[in-house]
Amino acid sequence: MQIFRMELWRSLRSWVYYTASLIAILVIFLTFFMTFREDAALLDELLQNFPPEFRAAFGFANVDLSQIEGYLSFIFSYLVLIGAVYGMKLGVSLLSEESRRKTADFLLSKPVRRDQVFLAKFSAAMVCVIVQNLLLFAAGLALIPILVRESYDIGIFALLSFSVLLVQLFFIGLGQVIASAVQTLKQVMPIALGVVFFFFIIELINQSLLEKALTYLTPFSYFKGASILHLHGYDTSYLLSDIVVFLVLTLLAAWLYRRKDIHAT
Amino acid sequence: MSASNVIEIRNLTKYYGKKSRGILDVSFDVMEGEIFGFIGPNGAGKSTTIRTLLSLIYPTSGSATIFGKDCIRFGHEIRRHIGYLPSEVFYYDNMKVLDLLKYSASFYGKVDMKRIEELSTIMDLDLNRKIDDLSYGNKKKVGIVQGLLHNPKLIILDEPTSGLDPLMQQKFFDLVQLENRKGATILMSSHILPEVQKLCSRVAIIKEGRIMKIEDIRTLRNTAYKKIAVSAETDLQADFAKMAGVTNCQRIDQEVTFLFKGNVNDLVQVLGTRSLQNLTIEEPDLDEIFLHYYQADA
Repeated sequence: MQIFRMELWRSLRSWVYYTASLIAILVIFLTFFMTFREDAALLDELLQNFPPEFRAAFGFANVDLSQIEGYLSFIFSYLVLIGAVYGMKLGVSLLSEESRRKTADFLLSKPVRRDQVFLAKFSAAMVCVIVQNLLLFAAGLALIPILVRESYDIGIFALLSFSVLLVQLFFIGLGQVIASAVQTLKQVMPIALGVVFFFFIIELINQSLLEKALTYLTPFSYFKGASILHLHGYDTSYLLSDIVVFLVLTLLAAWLYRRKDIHAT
Repeated sequence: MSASNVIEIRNLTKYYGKKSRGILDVSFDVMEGEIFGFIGPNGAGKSTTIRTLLSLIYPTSGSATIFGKDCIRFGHEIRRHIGYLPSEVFYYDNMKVLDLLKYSASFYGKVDMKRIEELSTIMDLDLNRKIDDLSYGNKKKVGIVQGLLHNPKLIILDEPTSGLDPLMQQKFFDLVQLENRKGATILMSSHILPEVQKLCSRVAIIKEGRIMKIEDIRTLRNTAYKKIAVSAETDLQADFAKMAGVTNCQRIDQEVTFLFKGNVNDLVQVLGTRSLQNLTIEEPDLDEIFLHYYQADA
């Protein structure tokens, strides 16, 4: 329990930054909506001149940006990206922080099992992302009526909002595996950004191909705004693969962490 | 296990990767209530052995038990009764010393503030400072206090005196001996022979991953070499080279150096008959001692 509290405490600062950024971006985009909508027809016309691959890659495909739900799905394609970076950073840093700061000797010479340490760190990560997503959702619930002044589908907003969490789970799983597999990571952010953008680029390629060939490879394909608007829910097979990937990677990370040699400096 | 052994290490081997040697076929026992020295040059495998005992790293082959329990399978139970001071200490920088000690104590049940204060007073450690602001020596003190605050039955010290000034070293040794008298068994690694000679009852000597010798400290002292350097206007090399107990006799300019083993009175008698400009008698450093073990084993 004390490890869990310690992890939360140590994660707090970056958690505040990312949570505030997510909410700030949501708010800024929402304040533009009313002005934006007046010119939406113009923008739609403009976008028609771009190739469909381009529109698809940047999230403009198959959504009506003059509708608040369509506009929200456009905002969330970017919030998901930021959330993914945070998830990756969290997964990587929780399990590599002790080695990088050289406090692993202190912690692991205490009477605790490796599994307990892993579980404490994992739980802290879960609390971080879950509370973050609840706050993002709550911020939306509170602010959309004020900033947009028109009725909107709360169900769709909830689905869009929690897609951030679902994508984060994928990257937390991946980050944990990387952190457990590598002896000592010198830096977290280059890896977090590199990996997340790698998957984002796969998604871009994927979108511009207009084929479904690569969609299971990248979580950015799993919860597309257009699909959520269309289905009024998540695509079950993508939802399942997201959860399965997350669970398998987490178990793999726990297994690797249990067997990891903790070297002196 | 035999009733009196706290640590039993059997054929412990650790490779890092395929080729890189950690330790090879290390076996020794540490008996209950003794202060056991583990001595060897840097990189010999002392830390590897100790880290395996704490299951920070996993052996390639062989096994070790502490309190009769396998140190990998029952690591978390065993560690409840171990106090460990790593050779280099690192703690969470933004914490206060007191908070770190409380955090450490929380792993062993109730936090005993009296014990924390008592140890900090002995080691002259300010509890209200931030870890960030501490010098290396002061961090080491934090390490000592956090290693002892739960009254461990086994204390494992890895190069404990590095970074401590002589006064603190002495306080620390007193503290270790006090814990030992209260019943704690102590395993201490070092590359400094005199400090091991001062504290320990038995030593294991390790070199290049292998145990060279396990010896009673008295035996080691009796077989101990002295490193002698004499300067004189006349060439004394020939005089000493043929003397019994002299090895490695060398001459550089006017100075003759050699290792001497045996009755020092014999040596003093010979020295007394010569006209000397200078004379030093030192403990040989470890490499020179190991040289002897190499020759003996070859």
